[in-house]
Amino acid sequence: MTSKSVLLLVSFIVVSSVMGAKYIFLVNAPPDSVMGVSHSLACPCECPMVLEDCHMSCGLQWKNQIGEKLTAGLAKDDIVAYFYKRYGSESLLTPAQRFAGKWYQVSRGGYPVKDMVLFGMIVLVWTALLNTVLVMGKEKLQSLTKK
Amino acid sequence: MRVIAGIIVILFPVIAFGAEGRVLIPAGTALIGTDMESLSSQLGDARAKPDWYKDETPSKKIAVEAFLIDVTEVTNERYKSIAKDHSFPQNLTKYAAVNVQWDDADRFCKAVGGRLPTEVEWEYAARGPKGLIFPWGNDFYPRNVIYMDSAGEKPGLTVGSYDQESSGANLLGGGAPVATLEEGKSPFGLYDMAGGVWEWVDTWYDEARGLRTLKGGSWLTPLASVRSATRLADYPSRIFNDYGFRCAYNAE
Repeated sequence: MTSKSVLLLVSFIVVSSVMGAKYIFLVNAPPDSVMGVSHSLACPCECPMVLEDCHMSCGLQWKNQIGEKLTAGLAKDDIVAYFYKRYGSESLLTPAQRFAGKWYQVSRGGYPVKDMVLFGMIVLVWTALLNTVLVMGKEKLQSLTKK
Repeated sequence: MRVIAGIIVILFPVIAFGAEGRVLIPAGTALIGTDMESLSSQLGDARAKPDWYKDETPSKKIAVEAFLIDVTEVTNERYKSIAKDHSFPQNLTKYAAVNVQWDDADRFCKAVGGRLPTEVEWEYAARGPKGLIFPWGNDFYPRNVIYMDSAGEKPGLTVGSYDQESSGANLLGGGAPVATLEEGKSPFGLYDMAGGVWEWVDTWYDEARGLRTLKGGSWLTPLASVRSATRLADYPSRIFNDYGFRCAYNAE
């Protein structure tokens, strides 16, 4: 395996970890928006999805309720509290459930295209930078050794 | 003297419970709400944040006038007798009427000579003079209540197939006929004040935002929400298959 392949692999692992964590755990929408609140809730339908990705009728019903409550001026925490009071932990996500939900979303074709393009670009740029730094470092080291 | 005592004993159920299943709640001091310090120990789920229930804090003592209240939630059968267009599965006549808007519940209660109870009246009727956490006491007993974990424990609970289903339809569980859980009665003898269905009360949760208060938790809710102090806010136009009600009546 060449050093460039190793670098590319390392870059891939590092960037995919960061991007994956961002995709799974970080909210891509403002917290006081339907998607921002939906990010914290589980889909109530017969699927393991995060509510923000769920487009089944029962999921849309919950999103509609979230929208109405936001319009009335309720904050994200008030809305999450409402869902917990009504449905308990069924409405919440553990980190494992969130991971499973996002994996389910990706595996059924719900690819986050924008994030994936960004991911590819970051991997390439990061690898190139790392490669340049290592090559320059190696040359510097060789010149020092010659002296 | 014995004759008088005998007559009182015979007449007591009629005086206290009435012909339509009402119970007289005597005037007294109601302990309402919960103190923040004791809240986290009452929630029973590490994932439930005390902040989500802070709307019931702090606890207060409020004087309550005597009033009467239904022993059970209004059933489908009873509701249909006034609200002729109410539809429900025919095997659920003795179940609490659900999918009822606040306005319709209020209209029904007025039609039978009553009104919806206020939140203070409801909570007093549920917790009794001692201000219990649950209607039956301060410790939680799953057998006394129909809540989210009852699906496995009480086989036969059913959601039913309503014309207008709601978001709980995909979750396991469901209701049971009213007044089936004897051990879950409140100190005043009321059934199903915890779990079963949420009950509309005649108190605004947030008038500016148009939110009404619901009490008691339902077959969908966690342990934390079947505590009698729990408050839920929702729009009066909402219909859900776990939103019902019972009526109160002035004592005079």
